[in-house]
Amino acid sequence: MNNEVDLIDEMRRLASALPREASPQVEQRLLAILRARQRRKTPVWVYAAAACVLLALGLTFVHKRQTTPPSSDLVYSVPGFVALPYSQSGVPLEDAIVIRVQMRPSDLSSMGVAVPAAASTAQFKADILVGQDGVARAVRLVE
Amino acid sequence: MTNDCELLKRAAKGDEAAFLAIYQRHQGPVFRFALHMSGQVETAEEIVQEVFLALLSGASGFVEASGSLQGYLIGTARNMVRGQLRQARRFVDAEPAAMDGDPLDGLSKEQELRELRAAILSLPPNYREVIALCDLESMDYSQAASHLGCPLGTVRSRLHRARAILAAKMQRRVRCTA
Repeated sequence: MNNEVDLIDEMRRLASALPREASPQVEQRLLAILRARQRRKTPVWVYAAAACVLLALGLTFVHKRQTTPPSSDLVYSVPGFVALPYSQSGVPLEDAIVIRVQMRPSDLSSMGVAVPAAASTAQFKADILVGQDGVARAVRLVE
Repeated sequence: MTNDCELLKRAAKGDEAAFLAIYQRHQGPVFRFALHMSGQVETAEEIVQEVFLALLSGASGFVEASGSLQGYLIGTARNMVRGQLRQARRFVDAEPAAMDGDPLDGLSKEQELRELRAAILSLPPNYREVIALCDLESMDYSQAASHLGCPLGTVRSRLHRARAILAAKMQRRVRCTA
């Protein structure tokens, strides 16, 4: 290999002896990646529909909050129950249980309910209305 | 023949046939450039895959006005090869004489070609690039200059210098074996 022409000829021979293209596996791998990306790609209309649903839910929630009466009104609407002062939770009363208890008049006054001065010291039965958050909301005298 | 840009737009929308058309049109030159630069078929195939993945993801930022798609793809491959060479230099001796998975393994009589290949792979990347494009790929100087992003004169001077280095290396080997 004495001159540049020989060298260039040798390089051409070398180039023709080497592989000319990538193996078909590369094409297959790329196609698999392309297909996987297509499967993952979510159409724009899905995002638009999701946004509409969220907006509708939000508007419904706001409307409900504006039209739902305060929880104390609900308590007052249950016959015989007296709402306990200072125990109205910020959580709306959606679900409640009634617990029957034995109390003394002093217990009732400690809950903020006015007790007539002439009331006896004997125990009596009462129903306590407890909201879903565990806060006692109202009381009803049974006996 | 459909325009590259049109095919690229269709491929970006998930058109498999358009992507295949681009791939089949350009993978050969990209693969050969990566092979001449790295000396390894596996590395060259990895680079081909990365180059076309970058093109697919749209992160590549190819602009038609800035040149041909093939030039752009070879430019991307060039950056990837340079990155790999920089990494390899940290761990491996720069002398590429021992080549695992040599594509010339089946050609036992082609000792001279093997030596020439080793000599090309031992060239600095700037010189190897011009040899790969102009001599191994028979590309004209202006096209090589456009692909490498350098002036025509630089391509000429690098090529002249690279050939001189190769000739000297090959003569030294001939003297050693004689």
